[in-house]
Amino acid sequence: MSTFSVVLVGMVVVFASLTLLSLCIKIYSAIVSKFSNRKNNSNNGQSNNVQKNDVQIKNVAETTNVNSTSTTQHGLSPELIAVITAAIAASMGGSSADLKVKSIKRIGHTTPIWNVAGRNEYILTRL
Amino acid sequence: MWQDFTNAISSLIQESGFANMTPLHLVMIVIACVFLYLAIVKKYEPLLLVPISFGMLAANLPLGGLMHPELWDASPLDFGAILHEGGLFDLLYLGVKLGIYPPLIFLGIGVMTDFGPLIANPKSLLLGAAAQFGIFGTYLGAMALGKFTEKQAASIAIIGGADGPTAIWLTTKLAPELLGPIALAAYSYMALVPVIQPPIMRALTTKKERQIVMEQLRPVSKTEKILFPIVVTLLTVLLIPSAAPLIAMLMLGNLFRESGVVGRLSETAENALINIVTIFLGLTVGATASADKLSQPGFGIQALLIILLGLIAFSVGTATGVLFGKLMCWLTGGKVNPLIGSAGVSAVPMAARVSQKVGQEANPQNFLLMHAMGPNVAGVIGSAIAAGVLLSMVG
Repeated sequence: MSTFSVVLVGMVVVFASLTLLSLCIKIYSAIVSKFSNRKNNSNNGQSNNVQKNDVQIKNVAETTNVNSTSTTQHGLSPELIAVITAAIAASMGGSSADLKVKSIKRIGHTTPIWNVAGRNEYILTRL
Repeated sequence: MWQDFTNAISSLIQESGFANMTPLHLVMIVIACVFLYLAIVKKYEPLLLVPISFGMLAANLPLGGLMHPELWDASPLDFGAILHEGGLFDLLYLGVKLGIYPPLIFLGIGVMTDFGPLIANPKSLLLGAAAQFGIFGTYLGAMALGKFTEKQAASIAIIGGADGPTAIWLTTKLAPELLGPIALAAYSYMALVPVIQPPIMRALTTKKERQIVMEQLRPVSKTEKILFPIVVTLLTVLLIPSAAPLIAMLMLGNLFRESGVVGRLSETAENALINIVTIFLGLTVGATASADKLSQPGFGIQALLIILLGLIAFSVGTATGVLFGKLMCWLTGGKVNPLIGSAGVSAVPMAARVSQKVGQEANPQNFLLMHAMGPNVAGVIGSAIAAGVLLSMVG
């Protein structure tokens, strides 16, 4: 086999097989996530019903700026909203049932640059 | 009485290694000591270079009888003679010659590797493929020089895969006479990744491209991780059967890890087994670099060319990886940082760390490590496939 054809065939085979592999991963990932979503949905459906009956919101605490459109635009997942609510409730020392989240908005970077530099340096030493 | 004593002493001296030492033995011992220095003082891949260079040192001491290169040069191989007359290193070298050690090392690597970033972003497999241009580009270069046969050129080219076990596996099958210099070049360049790659990466990208912050990878479920080794083995081995020993063992190791039900096996594979095999592999690969080889006409020039071609292979692989990263950056509208392309040359996890460091130089808020791990582990699969392809076409 000539040198050029070895190079050409070699590269084509490597690319083709890895492309095929990447397609296969995509396909089976999609199938797996579909199955797990279906499972989650059926679980969520049950828990939602329970929540509707049990949870009564007593006090409304303003947590962040009201900006409901940005929340929907960013498409925050219910899990993330739950985590943020739980974190606020934990830091305020109350129950999450006392809170009503109107919006969640990302605010700018407030950590001093020296802290960021120190953190990065620490992470780099661990790499 | 005195006569007997002096006779005994002089025959002892004549039978000692000192009397049988040739200048070539001395050269090899000096080379071995240089590699020992690099491994111990400069810490270049010490886990491999220490056994390799010590194997080289011990095998080049005259009359030691640890390794008999003449037994391995016979064609066809006389395994009976090797078993009867071979020294310790000859017997251990059987594992290299029969292609046993590299797949066992791949088993351990499979246990240590998290393919999560690759499953989360399967496109990174293409970056792993692009970096294999280094292998085929070097094959072209080695053939153009006219100093090597097809099989030798393919063995040299695989240095560009930046994967020691793969390079050793292919070289023992195609050009065992070059095993010593190829293994040394492969492992030395792997250690030099942080020196070789950054200038190429900076030269081929703009500061704006290096600053690109990539979207966070999605979490990968356990089911996906368990299915991955099974799917890869099925597909790759069916496509390229000659890559089966490397891919199958790599994926078996990964299945050990992800299945979570064989903790004892995965612990053994990633610790005890890989360490034992590394000692045997290093010692015997080093022992193949014998003084007799150096005395063969043209071997010195060949060894120098291998070192040069290895560097070219690494550099071309890095460059094509980054260039393909640029292409993906352009196609995705600036969502991919081209720096992760250079990690496609395997050398896990060193190449991914280099992407992270170069990325952070341009933008201290950028964390590319996990994004670079995708092409990095894809490079391992890519170079194993490239080795299989070369073996089936040239072998």
